[in-house]
Amino acid sequence: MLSDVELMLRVHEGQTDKLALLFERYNKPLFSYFYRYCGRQDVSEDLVQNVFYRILKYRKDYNGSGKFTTWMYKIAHNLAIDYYRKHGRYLYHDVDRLVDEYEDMADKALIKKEEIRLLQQALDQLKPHEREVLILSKYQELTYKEIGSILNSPEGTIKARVFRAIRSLKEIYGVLER
Amino acid sequence: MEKYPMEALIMDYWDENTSPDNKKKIEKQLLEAGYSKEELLNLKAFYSSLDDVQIPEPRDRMTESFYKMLTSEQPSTRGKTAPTQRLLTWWQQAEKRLVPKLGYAFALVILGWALGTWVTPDVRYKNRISEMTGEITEMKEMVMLNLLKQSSPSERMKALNFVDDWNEVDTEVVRALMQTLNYDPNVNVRLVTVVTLARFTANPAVREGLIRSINRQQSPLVQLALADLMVSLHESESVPQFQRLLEKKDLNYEVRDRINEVIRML
Repeated sequence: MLSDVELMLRVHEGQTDKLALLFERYNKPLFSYFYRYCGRQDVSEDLVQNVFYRILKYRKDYNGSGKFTTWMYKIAHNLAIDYYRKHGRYLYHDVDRLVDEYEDMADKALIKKEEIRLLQQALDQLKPHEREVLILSKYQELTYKEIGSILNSPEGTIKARVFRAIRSLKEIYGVLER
Repeated sequence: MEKYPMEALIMDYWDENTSPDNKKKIEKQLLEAGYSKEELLNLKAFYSSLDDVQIPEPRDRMTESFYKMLTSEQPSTRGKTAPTQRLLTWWQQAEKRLVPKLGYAFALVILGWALGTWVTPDVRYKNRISEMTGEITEMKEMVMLNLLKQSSPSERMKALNFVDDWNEVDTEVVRALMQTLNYDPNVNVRLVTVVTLARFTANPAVREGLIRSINRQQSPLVQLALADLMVSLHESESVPQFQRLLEKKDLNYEVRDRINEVIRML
């Protein structure tokens, strides 16, 4: 199986059909990133499409140094920032629907419906930059070093930001819980 | 050099990869800095609870839009947006991934058969080999039918690649493929099913099933693939189905144009 870098280098050389394999590998993680960021299914799907459009458009800029995912998430991060600037504020998740979907997937007796609802509301109220480091570290499972490359910050700073984001989230959650 | 923030140490403290010795050192530093063990434990548990927040899956339309964009952006196909070309592009990608593996498996079966025939020319052995070939075919069919029931689209795609090696299909396989064509939730799987079934259109059941499927498809890509297939088969029986499809108000305008064209051609 070809690695991400090998595939992207082939796209770079003009074998643009190889982008389909990268899409199959990363469309879901990217959708997860955008959905957790903006809370809108249609917008997230469009943003994923835009990431791959930009990869194709700027394929000549890719030189194979560094991980492909770091480059891809840099593009995704820029698109998310553009989206935020354009819309001014975040669109909130349809929390009831999320909870219902989750209930369908698992044993209802085990679901703490109210906790999940509050948790999602708290995530929605988190500052954009705090929410993003949490998404990248918790849900996208990137290393702090990779997140640092995407956000142009040292690893230690990223770790500290993640911790502060967790603490802020807990505070917001506490207020909502009361 | 970067100044290592105290909060960053907490993330190291929680990290499963940090050695016990290091954890002890960090814990000491954190307690000296005023953090309590209980507070850190509570925060870690809270951080873990974030796993409970689930999100939906992206819809098929995202994949469809991507392949549409990719086909239109490919230098070799730019300006040529024929539906068959789009379908072919997708098929080529799937083929490159799966065919080599199946090719090895098939080559091994043939090699085994050839060796058996050469080493043991006796009729009894030949009969046995013939029985074994039949059994292998049956097993492959069973594997294929099972793969087709898997929840992962890539597994179902593997099932379709199995069929690629066969020259004919029995009623059970035709029924399973028709079921996939009409009801599979993944548009790419349905598209490849059209390509797979196109090889067996000499079978009247396949032909009839394909015609009946025209009105069941919601995806423009599959509708276009079926339209192209009907043209290549010169299948005038499909015209009433296309006319019914045209009655749908939400039909994609590109599909509408193509179907009008197809009806004229047939």
